[in-house]
Amino acid sequence: MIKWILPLGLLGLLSILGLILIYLIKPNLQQKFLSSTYIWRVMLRKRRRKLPVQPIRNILIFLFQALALTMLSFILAEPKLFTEGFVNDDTERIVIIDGSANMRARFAGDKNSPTRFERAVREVKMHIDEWLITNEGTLSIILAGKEANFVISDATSDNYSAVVMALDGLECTYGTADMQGALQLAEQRLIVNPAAQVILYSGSDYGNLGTAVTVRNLANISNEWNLGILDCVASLEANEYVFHVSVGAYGRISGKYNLYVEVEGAELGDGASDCPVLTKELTVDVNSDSSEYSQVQYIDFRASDPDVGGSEEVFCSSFREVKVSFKNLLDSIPEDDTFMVYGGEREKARVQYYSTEQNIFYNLGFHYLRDPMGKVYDIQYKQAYKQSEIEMSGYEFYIFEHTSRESYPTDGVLILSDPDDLSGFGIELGGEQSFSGLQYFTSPEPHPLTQYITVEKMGVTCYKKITSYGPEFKPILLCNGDPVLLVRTVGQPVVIMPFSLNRSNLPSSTHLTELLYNLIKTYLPQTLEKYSFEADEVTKVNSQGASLTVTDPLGTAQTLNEFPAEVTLNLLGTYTFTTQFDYDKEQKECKAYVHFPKDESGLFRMIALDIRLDKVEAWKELGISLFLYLAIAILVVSTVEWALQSKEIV
Amino acid sequence: MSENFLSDQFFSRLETLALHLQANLTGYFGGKHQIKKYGQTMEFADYRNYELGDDIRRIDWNLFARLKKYFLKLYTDERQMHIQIFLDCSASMASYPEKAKYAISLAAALGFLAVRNMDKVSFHLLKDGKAEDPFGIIVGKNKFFGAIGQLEKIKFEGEADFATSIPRTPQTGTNDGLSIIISDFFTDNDWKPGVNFLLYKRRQVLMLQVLTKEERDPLYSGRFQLIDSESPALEDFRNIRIKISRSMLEEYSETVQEEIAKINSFCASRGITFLTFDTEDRIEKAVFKELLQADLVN
Repeated sequence: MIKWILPLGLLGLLSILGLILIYLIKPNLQQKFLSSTYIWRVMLRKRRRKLPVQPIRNILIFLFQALALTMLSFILAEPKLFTEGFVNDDTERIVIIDGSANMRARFAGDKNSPTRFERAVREVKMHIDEWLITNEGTLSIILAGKEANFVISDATSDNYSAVVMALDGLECTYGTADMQGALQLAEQRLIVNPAAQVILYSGSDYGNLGTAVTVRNLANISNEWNLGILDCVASLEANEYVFHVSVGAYGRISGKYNLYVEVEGAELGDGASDCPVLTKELTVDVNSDSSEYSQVQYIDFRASDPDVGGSEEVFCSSFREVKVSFKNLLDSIPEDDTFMVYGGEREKARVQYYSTEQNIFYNLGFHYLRDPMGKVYDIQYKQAYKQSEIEMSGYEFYIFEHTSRESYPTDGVLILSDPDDLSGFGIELGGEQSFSGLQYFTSPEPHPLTQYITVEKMGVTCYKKITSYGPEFKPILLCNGDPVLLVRTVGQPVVIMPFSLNRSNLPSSTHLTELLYNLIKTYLPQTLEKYSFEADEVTKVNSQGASLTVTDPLGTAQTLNEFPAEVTLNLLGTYTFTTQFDYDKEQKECKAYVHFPKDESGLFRMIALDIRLDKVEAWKELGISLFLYLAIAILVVSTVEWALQSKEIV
Repeated sequence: MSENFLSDQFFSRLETLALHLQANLTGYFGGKHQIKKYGQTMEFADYRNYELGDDIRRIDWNLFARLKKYFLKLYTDERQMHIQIFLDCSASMASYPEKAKYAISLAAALGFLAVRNMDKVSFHLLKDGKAEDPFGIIVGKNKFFGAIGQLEKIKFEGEADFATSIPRTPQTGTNDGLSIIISDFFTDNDWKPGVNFLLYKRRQVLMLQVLTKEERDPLYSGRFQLIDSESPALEDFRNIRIKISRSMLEEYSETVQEEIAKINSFCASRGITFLTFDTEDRIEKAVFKELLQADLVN
């Protein structure tokens, strides 16, 4: 649908009539009959050769037509004359409040002192009367949180109470603030009113943001200092965890501070006594009275270090959680005085194998996987040589080969290799299909179990034909159209391979190892890719079971059923991820810590932004429409056009 | 039409003139033009030694009596020539009535000179890519005057294309006379191939250009749409819109002279006689002065 902003501008189209008239009205030339105009034409050619500018005249007609049409377009655009100069409407204020975690800083030593954010809100409130009532101006407030948004815009004295309510409702985030976005929002307002003043309340310096921006820095060097744990990373070195702690000191701070490291659930070396909680006390020596001073210290801690009371016999090879903290520290940001480390325990992948015709293929396959998967998975392989040795619980994978049982374990993934009978699973087995050569597999559709495997090179010389199976089973691989790898998709995972490894090429190639790798990755996926996050980070989560419950530090739970899923971690503290299974397996739990952003711990920062908001010399409208002038210009151009049209002469 | 220019008195004066053609033409037997070859006339030309087989009646016995040698008496030969008169009958020749009359009169005068000299005459009317020959070969004054009466009825129209028309002319003999082209020669069509064709046929060529005073020195000025008489429509490229100033008139006259000089140069390079006539001049002047000075009549 077309809308005309200035429908009167269409009157400019009447000029087309003028253009038509130009072609219609021509001077009345006296006709002169000559015997021949040959000489005249020869003379004119000669004359044109003498005048090199003559060809230009030929295109003048076109130029003037183009000029006339251009001016018609200008008329449609409703041109007006402006002049340079400040517009007097400088009563508009655009307030940007930095909502980053840094604004949570209080005066050191006073828990009840207001945070920078609270002081910023308070200052804005103090100015509302002046801005809205005394100056009769307008006010817009932008909160620079994770994303920048207008809290209120174009508020006048009529909206006084709404502004106060909006300010009262503002909250500081635990993450970083989108200052660039906030200034871009302010820029949009400045385009409308270039005389508006932008006031940025922040705890950081920004250098020169332009003449339109006034930065109100709420940092207070006299009363603010911070000692924070910026990061703590656990790395496995020579089967021993080493903890690398980064400590940052900002502001006027000096002295020795104790850093406590508490390791829970540590699995210690043989020389250690039973010690469920390993506690170490480290000393951080900070010495600065400079106002701009900030320093970061790196401290490594390992249980076997004699400096912290350890020995070579005592080393930590796994842990459940580690707490690193400054205790009783009254600095400006207490939120970064504690840091939790999780993920110190490898995922257990326990495998039980039983076969009536024992072979080493599975054992070798899992053995090979210990190297590439060892950092994440603790693969334990147990072979039951007799029926009586079979354990019915406590394993993640149960492999039964060349056999069938009345009952199977119910707390892990069942792998039935060359089973005799599958009636218990609602599957009918037909006779053996034997071939003189290898029969290769095909894959009806991609599946995580066959990922990165060239299934067309997998083959068997004999398999048991599956004549029927229930809808809960899904064929993953086919041989001659018959399923040779079935997976149960509901309840306890069951993987059925109706062929003997001895009659296939899987063990003689890497296919079996690749299949076992995919088996672990599919049924024991890592819930989290890492265990330490900054506030406001978004992470991808997986689940080994049917559902995953995410519980935030405040105890609020959220259950997820589709994976992989994304979770936003916007609170500081420990998040718990609980996996629930839809079969007899016990639920599993893992934890992750959301810490104070390390960049936000720095109290006195200089932030460089790629934006400048300058007070623009506003173009003041003189109120003179150029409509008339353009119309006159069109008339002139049309006249010249007419003259050129009428002449076409030398 | 021709009586304005060609009065009986004028024709009677023409009786005193004869066309003077080149002597290297061959022509036909029975005319009055002396040629280089020896013939059977009574006018002595030269002697030569007697050779076996020569007619012994031609031996000069008086000379034999004195010199005891046989010499043959040679006499000049006189031939009849074919005079072709190509008359440009395009519309451009009729846009000024005096121009057409002048051209016809000129053609008639030259034709009269030819028949008076016992030559054959043919008139070729050039227009629309054709060369009409309405009278055929004219020999003798009676037939000539009959044809002259018909010339008055000629319609000048269309365009003349010499390059096409002249080669199509029937009975274009070789080396047998004079071809006269009467035109204004101010045309977009290239007339030179037609002239070259006549030279190829080893004919003597005479080009007569007829112009009016207005064509030479126009006096009109101001805004005009100049319409070419041969243009079929107003939108034709030959029709031009122009504002004529005094300087342009001067340039025009210069251009006319340059064009005439170009034609002259072309003709001089090929041994063609080219004469320009102004219709303001009397036809007698053209014949008795211009042609005489050009040694075309004597």
